[in-house]
Amino acid sequence: MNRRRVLVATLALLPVPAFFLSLFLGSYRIPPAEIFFMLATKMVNPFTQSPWPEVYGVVLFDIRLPRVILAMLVGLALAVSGASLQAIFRNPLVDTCILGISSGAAFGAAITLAFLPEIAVQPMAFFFGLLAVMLAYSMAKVRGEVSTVSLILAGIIVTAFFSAMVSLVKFLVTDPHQLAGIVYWLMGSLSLASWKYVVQVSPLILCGSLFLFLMRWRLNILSMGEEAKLLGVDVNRERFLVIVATAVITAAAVSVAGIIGWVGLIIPHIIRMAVGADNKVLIPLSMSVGAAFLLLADDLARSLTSYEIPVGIITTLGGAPFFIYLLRKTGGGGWR
Amino acid sequence: MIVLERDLCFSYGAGAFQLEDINLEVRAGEVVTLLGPNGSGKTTLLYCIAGLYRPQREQVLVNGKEVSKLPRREAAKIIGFVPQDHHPSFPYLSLDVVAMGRAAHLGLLGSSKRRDLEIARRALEAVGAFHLADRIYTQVSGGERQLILIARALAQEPKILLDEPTAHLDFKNQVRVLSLVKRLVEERKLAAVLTLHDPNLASMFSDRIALMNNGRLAAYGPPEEALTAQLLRRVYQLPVHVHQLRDVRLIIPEFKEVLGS
Repeated sequence: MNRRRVLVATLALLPVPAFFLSLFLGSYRIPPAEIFFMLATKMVNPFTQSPWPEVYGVVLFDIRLPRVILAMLVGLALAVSGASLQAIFRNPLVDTCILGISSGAAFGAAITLAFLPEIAVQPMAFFFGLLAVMLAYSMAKVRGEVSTVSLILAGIIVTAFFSAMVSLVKFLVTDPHQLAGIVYWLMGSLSLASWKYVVQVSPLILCGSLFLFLMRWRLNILSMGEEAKLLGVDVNRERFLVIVATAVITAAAVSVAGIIGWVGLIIPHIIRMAVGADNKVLIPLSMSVGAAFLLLADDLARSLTSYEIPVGIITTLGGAPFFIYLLRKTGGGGWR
Repeated sequence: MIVLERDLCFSYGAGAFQLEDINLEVRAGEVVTLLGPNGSGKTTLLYCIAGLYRPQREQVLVNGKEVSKLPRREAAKIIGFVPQDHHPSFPYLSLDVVAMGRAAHLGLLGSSKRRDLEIARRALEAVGAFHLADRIYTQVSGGERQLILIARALAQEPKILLDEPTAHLDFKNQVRVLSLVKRLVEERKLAAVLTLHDPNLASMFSDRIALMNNGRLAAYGPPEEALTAQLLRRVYQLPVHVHQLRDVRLIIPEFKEVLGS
C-alpha cells in the first residue's frame, strides 16, 4: 500500500523534472542556473527589464517555453482523452482516433494546406475534427439510443471516409512542397509551437480536462456499460458529455500538433498496469504522465539529430517496445 | 406493500414478445420468485419492475410511484438490481465495484467519499465477503462475483432487491446466495423479486411464487398453491410429481416418461 502511494506520487510529479529538463535542452546552450534565475525573475515581475543577454530571453521565453507548455498540454489532452474513451467504450484498446477525430482533423489540415493558403490550418483542423465526431455520433444514434458498438463502427466509417479524402487531397496536390507540408503535418510535430497556439488551445484543453477530472469516479460506473442504468446513471447523456469533452480537447490538441499516435493508448494502459484500473487515480495520473511523456518525446524529437524528427514517430517507436515490456512483465495487468 | 402491478402489459419489439395481465404485489420482508420456462417473460418482467422497460398499459408502482417515469437516479435509490450476465470491464478492486452502488447518491461530478467506501465495506461484510475487498474483481470466482454484486446492490440502500441468481453457480453457491438474499430481506425488511429456474430452490426460499407462462401469470401464491403438479405439468409441459417433505416441497420430473415420449 505504501509502495503504491510512493509510485502514485512519483507519477504525479513526473512533469516537474521533465519541464526543467526540457527547458535546459536545446541547440543553443544556456546554463541551467541562468534558466532558473530567468524564470524566477519573470515570475516575480513579468515586465522586468531583463538583465540577461537578449538571445537568452528569445530562446527561453519565445521558443522553448511555449513549445514545452504546448507539448505538455497536448500530451495531457491525448492521454486523458484516451483514458476516458477507454472507460466509456469498456475497451483498453480504444485510442483517441476511435471516433474519427484525428482523420477529420487531418482532412481539415490537408485541404487548408493544399487549397486555402490564406486560412490558418489550426482552426480548420479543429473544426473538421469535431465535425467527424458529430458525424460518427449521429450515425450511431438509433432510436435515441447510442450503443458503444454502433459508435465504434460509425467511428471506423468516418475515419475511413476522411482518410480517403486526405488521400484524394494528396493526390490532387501538384506542388511537391505543399505535399511535403501535408505529409509532415500528418506525422505530428510541435515544431510550430508558439504562444499563439498555447493561448488558442489551453482554455479548451484545460476546461475539457477539468470536466473529465471531475467525472473521474463516474467513469468507473460508465465503464460498466448499460448496466450503469441500474446504478442510477443516465448512461446516454453522461456518455455524450464525456464524448463532447474528449472530442474538444483531442481536436484542440491535434489541431496544433498534428496526429500523434499512441499517447492516448499506452499512457492510460501503463498507469493501469502500475497502479490499477480505478479511474479516480487513473485520470489524474494520465494527465501528468501524458504531459511528461510527450514532453520527453518532443525533447528527443528536437535534440536527437540536427534536424527535427516528427514527434509522432518518436512516441510510436519509443512507446511500442516499452509497452511490450510492461505487458509481458505484468501479464496484462489483470486482463483476461 | 411495495410493488404493485395492475394489469401490467408490455410488448417488446413488434409484438414479438408480450407480457399481459400481470397483477403482482410484493410486500416488504418478502421474497417473491418468478418461475417459468425459458421465454416465459421472467426477465422481461424483472426489467419492467426495475423500470428499464416501460409498460404500455397501467404501471409498476413502487411505494406508490411509477418507476419507469422516475429519473434513473431516483429509481436506483429504491431498486437494487443484481444482474445475471455481468461482463466485467476493467480490473477494478472489488471494493471499488461495490462503491459504484453509491452512484445514485452522488451527483454527476461526485466522487466516492470515505463515507461511501465505509458503506461499501459494510455491504461486503453483510454478504460475508469482506475478505474480497482488496481482490481484483475480474479475478474472483463466479460465486464470489455474485456476492460482490449483491453487496453493490445493498450499497445503493434500496427498498427492493431484484436478483437473477445465475445458473452458472454451483450447487453450494446457489444455496448460499439464496440463503443470503432471504436473510437480508428479513433483516432489512426489503422486498425481493428473484427469477429462478429450479422449482425446488424456489419453493425452499420463496414466500410467494409467480409461475409464468407465455407472458402471463399462471399462478401467484405461496409455494404450496403455485407449485402443484397440475400447474407445473401445464406450464412446463413436463410430467412431474410433487412431494411434501416436512415444510419443503419436492418437485421431481418423471424422467422415464419424458424419455419415452
